Amino acid sequence: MISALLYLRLTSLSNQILTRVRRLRQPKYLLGAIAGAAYIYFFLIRRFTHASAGSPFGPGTAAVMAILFLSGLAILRIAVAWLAPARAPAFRYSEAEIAFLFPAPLSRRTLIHYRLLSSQFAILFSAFLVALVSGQASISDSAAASGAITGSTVTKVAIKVIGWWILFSTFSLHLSATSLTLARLRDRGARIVRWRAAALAVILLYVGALVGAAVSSGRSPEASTFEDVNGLVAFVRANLETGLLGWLLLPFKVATGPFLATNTGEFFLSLGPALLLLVIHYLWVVRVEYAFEEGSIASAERAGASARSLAGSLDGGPVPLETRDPAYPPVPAKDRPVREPFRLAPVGRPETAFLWKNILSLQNSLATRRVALTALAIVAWIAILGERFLHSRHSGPKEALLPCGICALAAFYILLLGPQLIRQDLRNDLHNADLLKTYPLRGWQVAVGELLAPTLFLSGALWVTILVPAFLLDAQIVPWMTVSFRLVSATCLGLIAPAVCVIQLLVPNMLMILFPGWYQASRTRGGGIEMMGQRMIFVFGQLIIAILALGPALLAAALLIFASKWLIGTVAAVVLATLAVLAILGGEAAVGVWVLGDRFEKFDLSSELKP
Amino acid sequence: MIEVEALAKRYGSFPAVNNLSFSVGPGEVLGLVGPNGAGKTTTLRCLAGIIPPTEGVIRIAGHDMTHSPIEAKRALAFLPDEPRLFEYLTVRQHLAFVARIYGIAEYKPLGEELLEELELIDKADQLPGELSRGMRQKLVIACGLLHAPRVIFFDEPLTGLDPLGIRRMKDSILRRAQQGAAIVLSSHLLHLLEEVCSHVLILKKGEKVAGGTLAEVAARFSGGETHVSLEEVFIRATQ
Repeated sequence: MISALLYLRLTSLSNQILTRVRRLRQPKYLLGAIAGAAYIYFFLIRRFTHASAGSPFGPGTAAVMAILFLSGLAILRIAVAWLAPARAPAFRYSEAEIAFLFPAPLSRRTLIHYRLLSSQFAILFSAFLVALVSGQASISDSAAASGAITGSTVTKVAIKVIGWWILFSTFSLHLSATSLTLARLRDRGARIVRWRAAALAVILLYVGALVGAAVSSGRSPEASTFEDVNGLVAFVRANLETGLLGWLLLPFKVATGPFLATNTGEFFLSLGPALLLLVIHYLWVVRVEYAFEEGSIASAERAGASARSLAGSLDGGPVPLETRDPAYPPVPAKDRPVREPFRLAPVGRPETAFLWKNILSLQNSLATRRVALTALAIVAWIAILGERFLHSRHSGPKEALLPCGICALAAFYILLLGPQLIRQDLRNDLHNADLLKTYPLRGWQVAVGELLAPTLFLSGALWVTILVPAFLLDAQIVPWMTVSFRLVSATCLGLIAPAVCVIQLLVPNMLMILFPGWYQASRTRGGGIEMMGQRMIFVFGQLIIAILALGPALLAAALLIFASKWLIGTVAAVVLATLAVLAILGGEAAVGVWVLGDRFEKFDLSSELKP
Repeated sequence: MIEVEALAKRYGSFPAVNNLSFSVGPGEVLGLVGPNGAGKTTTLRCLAGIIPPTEGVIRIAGHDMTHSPIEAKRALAFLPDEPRLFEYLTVRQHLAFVARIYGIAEYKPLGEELLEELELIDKADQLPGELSRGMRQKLVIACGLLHAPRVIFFDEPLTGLDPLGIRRMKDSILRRAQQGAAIVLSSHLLHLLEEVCSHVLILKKGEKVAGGTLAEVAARFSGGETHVSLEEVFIRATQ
């Protein structure tokens, strides 16, 4: 039976590759593939065949930090899996897999095997990629000097790939086993809160013991440890072999044994225990008796509905019905209605209806934990950067400068990341493009309406970052910050802010309309080398267009201030420059909105999204 | 009400629809039929102004879709087979949104009436994610009919509806036609077309194979037989 499933996976894979190769006939995919291939060659393969010396991404502090960061993330992920298990099912299947395999005469264990086998393709690819990215596969003098694996390049790569593969596989199995175990406990009516409390206690105890053992061992890393990966590897190895710490870290020691091996003999010696740990995890997964099917079906339905909502009915033919079998659980509603931002009168500018709709959508999105956590992370990051920046450059009244610095950084991040985070515009309505196009509205009206809500939100955030320094900075801190200058500057910046936001929002919306296939690719996982290249082109393109759009306005402002402040004074010069900036940005925004609307009227998603 | 002259739509070099001409008058219900890939949905999407035709003229309620798209769209409703809804608007909020787009000042009584008729009144404050597929389809219909369109395009209108919903949908189509609307409906369900359509247009590979009243088309492909079903006509016409 497994051979049939293996046939399914391999045939699907080969057809997927063939489809992608055929798709390269389209110039945009070819361009993406070239960009992706160039990236892989210059940043990964070249490092592999050439010594890493001189490479900005060679083994060094950055790579060490990346490894440490990923390790920390993995441990954190395991803790989260126990403390706050996700609603996602232990095993994900596509709708087609569910339709064909679940009713087939296959045991639950075979279904699990199939899933585990499928995940191996991704794990192997990831292991190879990470081995290259981490610099572990590169040949370098420093690696040889520090006692890294000796032997042919192929042997080194194979050993490191196997090391990463064991790590990833064990990690993946652990997460699946945890998910299954907790779901089974929940199903059996166990008090999940008690289990979580117990898990928290165990994790805290374990972390405490680790810290205690590390402190008592007296081992602390020297600065040179972080200079290259091999130094770090040596340090980790030394710690893993220490008494109590060694015992506490035994599972990790076993799992990372092949990865940390310094020679071929050591690699083979450590391979046995690592594989044993892998097998134990595998047995844990297949022996947990839990009906994972319901969760998998619900998850597949959600994913399928999401995919259909974008491209489903656009291929010129009827969409397969959503066959809601009574045995299948309904897709749970993930959100609840929120309060309307304002009363929408039935008559008036239709653009307001889009503003109203998108604010509703925004309110719901902002309520999600992911956005809240992202915002928290950004605030923390800004605070750290702001504190560092001010600490290193000023010794004056930091009390006022600190929030001002934070605001400056916040404004930068709002403009840079805001349009990516706040997508309640045309991007959010791509799947409703057909519906919008049947409305009796011009394209530019739809574009204006769609851009209103994110512009309002981002402008509001920017206004806060303008107002705080305007209140806090005075002539005592910065001599030329007079009251009139602060007032005028804040007003001018406040007026410019919405125009800048519109420009920033126009760029991703325009790219989405011009290259919907690319845009969609950038929002989906995987997709191969050409998709990777396309995502890179997309991001760089957005950055370049934004710079080109804002450049003339900034240049004009600088020239006007420089030329006129001697004649009319600084405050008047700022006002004059603001008028010029508003004229330029306003013109750009108007043209951008018109072109966006025009493209929206003409574009046909059905032909764009065909593979 | 609907006039189509020499409509053509090409995707690159692929002709999805070619040299298609027909008209639908007030009170007429035209059934658009054809095998998969015949160009039915492409035709409907061109008629609704979703995609521009490569060639040809489309007039909706006297307005040229190419030159006066706003006026043409104001007169029509397109009801797709897959319900396309806004994730974060409740049923009632969908109606409010559509009312604003079309500028329907007194939409509330009509909206409530539609919700009652489509049995959505109890779900009025729920989000689309909380509705079954059939309910979502009904909401799309309610939104489409809110501005009392004179031209209605249905793409597989019975998809996802329960038997009672199917009966009500048929009645609704016939009632709209009796009230003077010009209706085009695309479906593979030939018995539905036989029940509600006054005219039929058979497409094959993007081209018109036959068109006219049900009786005319049946007569053309009956080969002298009497009581030939639309299914038989369809098979003979498209083979």
